[in-house]
Amino acid sequence: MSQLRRAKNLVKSSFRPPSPDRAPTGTAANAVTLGTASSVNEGGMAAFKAEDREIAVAKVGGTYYAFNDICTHRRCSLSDGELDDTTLTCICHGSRFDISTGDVLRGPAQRPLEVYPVRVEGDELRVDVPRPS
Amino acid sequence: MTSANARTFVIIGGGLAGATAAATLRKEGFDGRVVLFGEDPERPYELPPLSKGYLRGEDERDKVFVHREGFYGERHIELRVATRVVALEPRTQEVVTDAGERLRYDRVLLATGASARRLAVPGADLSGVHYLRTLADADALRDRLGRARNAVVIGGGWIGAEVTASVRQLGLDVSLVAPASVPIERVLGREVGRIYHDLHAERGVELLMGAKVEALVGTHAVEAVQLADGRLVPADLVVVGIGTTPRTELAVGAGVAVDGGIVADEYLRTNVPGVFAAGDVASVWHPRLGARIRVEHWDNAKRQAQAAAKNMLDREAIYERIPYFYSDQYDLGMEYSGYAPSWDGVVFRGDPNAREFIAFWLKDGRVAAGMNANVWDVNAAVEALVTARTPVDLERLVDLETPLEDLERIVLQPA
Repeated sequence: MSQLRRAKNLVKSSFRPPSPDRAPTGTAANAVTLGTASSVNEGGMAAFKAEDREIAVAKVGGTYYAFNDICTHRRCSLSDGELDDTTLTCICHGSRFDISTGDVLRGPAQRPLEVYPVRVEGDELRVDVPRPS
Repeated sequence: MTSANARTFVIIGGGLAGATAAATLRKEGFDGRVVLFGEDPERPYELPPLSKGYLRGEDERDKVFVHREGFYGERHIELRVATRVVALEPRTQEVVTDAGERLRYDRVLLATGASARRLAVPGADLSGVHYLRTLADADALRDRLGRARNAVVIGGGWIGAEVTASVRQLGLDVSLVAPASVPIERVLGREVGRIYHDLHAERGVELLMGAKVEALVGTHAVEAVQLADGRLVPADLVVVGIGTTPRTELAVGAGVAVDGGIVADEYLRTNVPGVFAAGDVASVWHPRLGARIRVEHWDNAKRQAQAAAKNMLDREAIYERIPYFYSDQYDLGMEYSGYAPSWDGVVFRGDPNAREFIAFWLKDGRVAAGMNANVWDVNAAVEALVTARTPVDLERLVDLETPLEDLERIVLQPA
């Protein structure tokens, strides 16, 4: 994402109240295609847009993990962070999450990360995203 | 994994910068020897929690470390804690440790950090006088906090202000003593510093600004802080945060240029071939800002070390990140991007009284720095404004009704 476009997206949401808790509100989910599995390297991450969400996919030891790309602390992009096994460290303030569960391993973030079931069909990454309520 | 003719890269300094550089070398595919020397007995840890969550007892000890314990061994990074490098000898390309061991290097990174400046007044060596720079410092301070009632924090910079907030949140009576008129005045100026002044005052902190410490008083343990105007402030705990000194001794001894820090170019190279510098100790040429600056923040330690590691591998990674840092005090969180050693004025977008705003420091009609406080998701925009370095339309900059497209135009169209 270019710096300017990023700035544009980000300023749009300035001065809104903090986003509410991101836990799914129901069981209803949409299966969506994010992109190609081959675009995610082993030990790496990629960010996709789907269903009005920014979703990151990581590949660790051959397994794919999908989670909300937006840090629950200050909304930084988590796919810019650092991955060590399934521990992800946010580049902005160092919050740590377990991307297999969404658990906060270290603050300053308080709220867990939303994680999504992910599967590979052919070369397509498919995730189940809760429907907006 | 290393062959007989493999190269050896030595990293001196076991903090965030050193640990990050070591990890980056491996991530970038370097398969030679990586030896990481740290003076501290602990494996590399991060400093931000020491004045915040860890000090307040909210974060567990194992959360402060840069990497988990097994990380280094798995990557064949030879981590040598509790080891001081006493000499760097560029002529023979060797480092010498305090145990007398000599190690030949092909490239070396100086990430020796900074040390806390000591208070030079009578009584400064009394028990109950604490500094905050290392994990051991934080542990000692935490231990003391459990027994103290009246704390005096000396120094109104970031560390002083954050420690004041944390100690106050733990329920102690706290006085903050500093020579400036408001906290964090040197970086933020009076307008924004005033917001922090009021924030601390509301929480019951006694702010003794414009004050100079004459002496610390007590027989064995500290009992009071004596100010130059004669006031005596009771204290059974004193925390001193009056700045840092870059740890340049090793560089000086090796003939590496030092001027307010180890001098490095935008590739983090020093004047001595094969010797690089990064983190708190480095004074680095910033091509976008057109200045040589030393930045003592978490973000810089991490990202500058990544760039330095790449340059050790001849990847030619220019370091031109706009300085960025954050601070959390009570319920006021902020992020700051930019570099404003001086400015012509400060303007606010949003309401500083409601403590939800973006402040901009202006120099020659341009945004030199911006700080968002309790407003999130705008840092990239603030950084874009600083990076643009073109004159801005002030009215629209501060107008909350100005849609984002106009803000973009502010960036794109010089007045």
